[in-house]
Amino acid sequence: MANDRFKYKLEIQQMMFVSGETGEPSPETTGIIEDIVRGQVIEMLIQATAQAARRGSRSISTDDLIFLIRHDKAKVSRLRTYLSWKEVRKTAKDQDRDVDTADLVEDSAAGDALKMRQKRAKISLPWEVASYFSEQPPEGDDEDDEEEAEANVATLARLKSADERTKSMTKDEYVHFSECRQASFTFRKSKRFREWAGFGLVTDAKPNDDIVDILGFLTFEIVQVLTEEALRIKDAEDKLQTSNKENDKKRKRDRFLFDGPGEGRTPVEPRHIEEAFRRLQIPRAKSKALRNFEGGGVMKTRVQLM
Amino acid sequence: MSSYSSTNLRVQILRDERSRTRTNSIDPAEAEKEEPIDPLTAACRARYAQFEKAIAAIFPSKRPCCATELTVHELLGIEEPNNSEIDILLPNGVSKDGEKSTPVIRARRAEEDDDYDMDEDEDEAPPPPPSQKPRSPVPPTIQISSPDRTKSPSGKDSVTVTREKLEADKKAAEDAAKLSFSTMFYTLESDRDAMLEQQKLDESDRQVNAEANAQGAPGKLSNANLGASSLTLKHLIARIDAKRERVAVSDMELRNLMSEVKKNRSKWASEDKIGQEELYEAAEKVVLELRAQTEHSTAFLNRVNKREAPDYFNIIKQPMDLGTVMKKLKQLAYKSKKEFIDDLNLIWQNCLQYNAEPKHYLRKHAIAMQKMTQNLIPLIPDITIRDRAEVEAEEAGAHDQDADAESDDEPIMSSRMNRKAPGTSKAKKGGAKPVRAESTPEAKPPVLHVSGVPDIKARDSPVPGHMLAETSGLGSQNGFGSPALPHTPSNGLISTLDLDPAIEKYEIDDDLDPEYKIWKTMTKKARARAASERHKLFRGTKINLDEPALIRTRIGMGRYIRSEVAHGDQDAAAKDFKAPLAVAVEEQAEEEDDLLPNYYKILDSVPELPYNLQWLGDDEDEIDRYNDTLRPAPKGIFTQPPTGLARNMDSNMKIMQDTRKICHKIGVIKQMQVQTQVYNNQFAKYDPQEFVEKEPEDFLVSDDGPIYSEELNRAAFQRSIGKLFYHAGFEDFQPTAFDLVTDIAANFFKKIGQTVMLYSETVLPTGRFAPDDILLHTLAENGLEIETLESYIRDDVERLGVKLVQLNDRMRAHLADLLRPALNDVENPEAAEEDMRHFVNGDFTDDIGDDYYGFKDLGLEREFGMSISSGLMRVLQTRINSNYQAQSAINPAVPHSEYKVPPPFEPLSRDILKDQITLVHNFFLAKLHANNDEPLIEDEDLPIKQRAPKPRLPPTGKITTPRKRPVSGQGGNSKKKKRPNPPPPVATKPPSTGSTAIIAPTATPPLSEENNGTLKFEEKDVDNTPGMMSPESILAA
Repeated sequence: MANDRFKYKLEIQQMMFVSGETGEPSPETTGIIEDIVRGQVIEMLIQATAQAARRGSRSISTDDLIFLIRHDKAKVSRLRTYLSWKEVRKTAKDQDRDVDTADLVEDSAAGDALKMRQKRAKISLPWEVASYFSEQPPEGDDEDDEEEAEANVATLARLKSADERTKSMTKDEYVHFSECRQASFTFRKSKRFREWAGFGLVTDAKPNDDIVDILGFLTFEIVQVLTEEALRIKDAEDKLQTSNKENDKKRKRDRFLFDGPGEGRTPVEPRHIEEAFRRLQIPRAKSKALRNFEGGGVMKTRVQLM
Repeated sequence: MSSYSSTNLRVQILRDERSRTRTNSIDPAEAEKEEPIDPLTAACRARYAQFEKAIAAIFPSKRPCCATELTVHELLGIEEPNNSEIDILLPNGVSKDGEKSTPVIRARRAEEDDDYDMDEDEDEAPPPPPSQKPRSPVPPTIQISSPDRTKSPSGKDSVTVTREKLEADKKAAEDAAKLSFSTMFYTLESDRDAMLEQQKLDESDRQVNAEANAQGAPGKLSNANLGASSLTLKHLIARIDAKRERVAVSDMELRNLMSEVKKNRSKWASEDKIGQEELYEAAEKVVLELRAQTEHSTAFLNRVNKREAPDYFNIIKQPMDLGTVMKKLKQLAYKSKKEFIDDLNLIWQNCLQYNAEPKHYLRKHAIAMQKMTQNLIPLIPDITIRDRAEVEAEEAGAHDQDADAESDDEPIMSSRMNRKAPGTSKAKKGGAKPVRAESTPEAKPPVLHVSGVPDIKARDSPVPGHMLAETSGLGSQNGFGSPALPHTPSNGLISTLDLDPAIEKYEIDDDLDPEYKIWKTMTKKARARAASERHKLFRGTKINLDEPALIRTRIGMGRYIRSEVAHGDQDAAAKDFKAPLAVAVEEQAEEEDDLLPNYYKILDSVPELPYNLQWLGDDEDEIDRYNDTLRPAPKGIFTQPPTGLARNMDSNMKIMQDTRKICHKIGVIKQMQVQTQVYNNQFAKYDPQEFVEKEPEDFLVSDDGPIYSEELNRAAFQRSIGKLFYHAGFEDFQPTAFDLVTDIAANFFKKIGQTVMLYSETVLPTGRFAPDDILLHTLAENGLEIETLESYIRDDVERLGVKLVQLNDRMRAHLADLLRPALNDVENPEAAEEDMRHFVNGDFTDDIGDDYYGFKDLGLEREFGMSISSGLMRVLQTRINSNYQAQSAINPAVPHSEYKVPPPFEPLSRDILKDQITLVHNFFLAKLHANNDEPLIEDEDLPIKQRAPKPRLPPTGKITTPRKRPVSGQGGNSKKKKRPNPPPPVATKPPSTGSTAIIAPTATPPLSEENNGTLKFEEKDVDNTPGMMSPESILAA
């Protein structure tokens, strides 16, 4: 029956695997994650719809969605990278199609490269400096890489850890890993995703593919963040337990030749996920502003986006 | 003084009484009940007085006015012989029988002594002996003589004496109270009630007046009864009546005026009515007195409204109230004292009757009023008003020479005589009535207190006399049968006996301090006025701005200074107040004494402000103003100091403005390129002013504290917020949004302030919070983190500045690009001039000679040094050109202008090849050979058809071409070339690419035709490099 309710067991398992979980998470774990993710998606849609309504539009734009996570600069930067590459891929596809028919002698390689660059950097957000002004100058080369680099620290760290993990992998393992990296809530199952997230109920308008893609990206991020946090919790817990055990029964520590295999890594359990969720939902200090002297201690806040 | 002895006496009394009860069983019960109360209270009072004095002695005041004459050694009690005291007292006419031996009497005397002493202490002025004792009972002599209808002159005297005595009593009490006022502190809480009551009183006054006026025929003064004056002032009155409509005074006022004009005549005086003046004057006094008891009288001032008590008139058949009584007085409706008193009593009776429920609060008031009435009635002479004619007729009959003398011829005289000696006329009247008998002189007191006030004749009946006899008997029994003690218990005692039993149930007055009560009644009016004046200053909870400013009066200040001086503040007197003091003393006489303590007059109590102006000379500017009062506010309070963050932000904003200006220019140019025609004022000028924080206009401050000016502070705050808005990229904003943000920010800062306050006031066991800690705590409490602030400064200010500068540069470059075509022509302006003639019909720019399109405003000329007209036309021209040049028009222009075009590559020939490294010789020799030793031609210079197709690598990096059929020829070609060929020139190939780069500039003679194969080879290498670069794309996919 769990199968009926949870539709993304496999994807979530894969994502968790990519995020560092080596064991096989139980269906309960994935179920809980799926619920959390769905809650987050719905919350995002609601807030984005409200934001769009404030703009005076009925349909959500990508900007509305990105606006929700604007404070997480690293995530925004990752998302932009993702989107720009998506754009590039799309144009590439078109060009491939063009190439089929077009004159083959056309020397557009250099132009392509140029276009690629332009396309890549094109995603600009309305709250950026460029939007202060009525005219947009052509893109220069002197893009601010400093910020980008800063924002990418987390991304790079992630890539590095993935590198470390894959370093010792066999070919098959690596293939498996790569496959897992492609796991997505939305890729090629846009319809299922829409139903799952209750698009029709939450928003009036039909979000376009871009939005679904962004949501796909963000859902992956959510699972990743959750898993990483849960793993951290689990590590701490394990450490505590082992130290306790050592104190309790020193003898047990001795291992003999014909002992059974040691307890391998146990997968992340639902409680870890729950704890991780709780930690990620701790109200930010910012939400206390203006509540001082007005019963600031106790307050009801919205679900926080991760 | 003798308080000590009195306590001793007190013991005696008790002992005596005990013995008396033991020995003497005949004593009536009342005597026992009443007697012990008196000595007890007396003792208590004595104690009280003693301790009061003790306090004064123990805590001596240096201030002369507050010091008591009592010294400590006095206090320690020198027992003075009682006998002497009694001797002193005896002449006061209490008793001449001299029962000095009886201890009870002695005790009693001693008590009176006590009272007397106390009064003496308080009351320094020596008043007439009987009035010295406010608490002492009415002396019997007076009581006896009080019946006023007796013929004897002593009887006449006695009336006046009674009145005088009562008034004197009151006055003495007031005087005593006055003195003690200064030692007491009163709160303002009852002032509001006083004010309301006073208002009611005034209202009822007005009402009565109005009604009286309405009833008196309006306008005809002659109709009004003006008493004697009507004769003397006949002509004046007639005159006034004739011009009545031109006199802007009400009848009542006129009448009062008239009565003032008549010397010493009251308004009640009448020619035709005998005794009216006396009766009415007294009656009016009584009514006014009653009304003045606002504590109790409020309910009785006006008629009962049917709305308030619907069934009132069912129960009360004959309603009466003080207002009506007053009205009736004014209408001269009373013929005798009895009628008047009946009316008064009717009021209280009505009230008691209607509010039958014993607990009703009005009963209390009614009873109090009743009691008061009883006390006041003796003040009214018992006169029945009679017509003069009638009296004269009688007099004529009686043949009295007095009456003859005051004949009709001299009415004024006669009336004056009448007034002066009411006794005489009364005597005559009395004489006219034979019924009047001097039977019982003592009969008066009980009569006074019988509530119904029996008829005069009734008083003659033996019953009252009997009563008195009984009471005096009681008194004598108390005094151990001492027969000659006519001085029976005071008025009060009898009145309590006489009063309705209900009275005893309610203690009429609250158990207030009697002094306080006196003070209350005496100052009621003044307090009410003060309260209403205070009240006027406010409207709702705010200060009433329309009220005139409060101004101190010299009199008030003088009074204050005097009190200060009296309190020994000699310094004050010596220093500043000499002059005012003198003035004050002079004007003291004018001052009205309302008995209010100083704290009612705050204005007067404000000490003199020190002078802050100093004359240095006679010239106008030589007034030196001290710095410690009003001075111009220092500059810079409301502007941001140019430090740190503010400077960064300012520079950011400046760049933003600059960039916006450039944007505007770009927009104009773009618009001109698109539009066929341009109008003069099509483009609004955009010339933002630099932000300068303005100081508010000069204003004065008086101290160093923060400046409380809501509007100014808010405006300054809004300005800062506006700056932040602009800094965040908003060019303008809706006022509502602006206000909202201001409110929120103000709220936020208020909370921050509160938190800081809280933490700085908190005391820990270890001390107080350090300033840093306070700040950190405050930030944390208000949802701020240091990181947040830091990241704001880093990202939103500093980095934003960097970005803005970059963007500004790019924008400038963009503008320059747009203007490039025009700039090109600057070199040969004549040609450009020629050119544009083709476009324009008539060179209007020259003709008009001004900056038609506002280019000067845009500042293009200045920036790029081009002439307006040519620049303009070139820009316009670009529009035309751009039709076929498309957007590429700009791009080729760039190299032209900035770099010299490098010479074309020399085509590769055998000669050139020699100079090259030998490694490539074979390769190129083969090529040359294939080309028939003609110089090799560059790929780009080949005709398009002959060029090798460039192999294209899609951005994905996936090499898909081989699979695709049409491309396969090409792709395969390149692939094949790549695959088979590289092996032989593996060594040669990389250099070849390098060499082309190097060689090309040196020498590549142009070739006419080229073999596809070889060139393709080169090309592909060049093109492959970017293809190889994109493994990241593979990775990403």
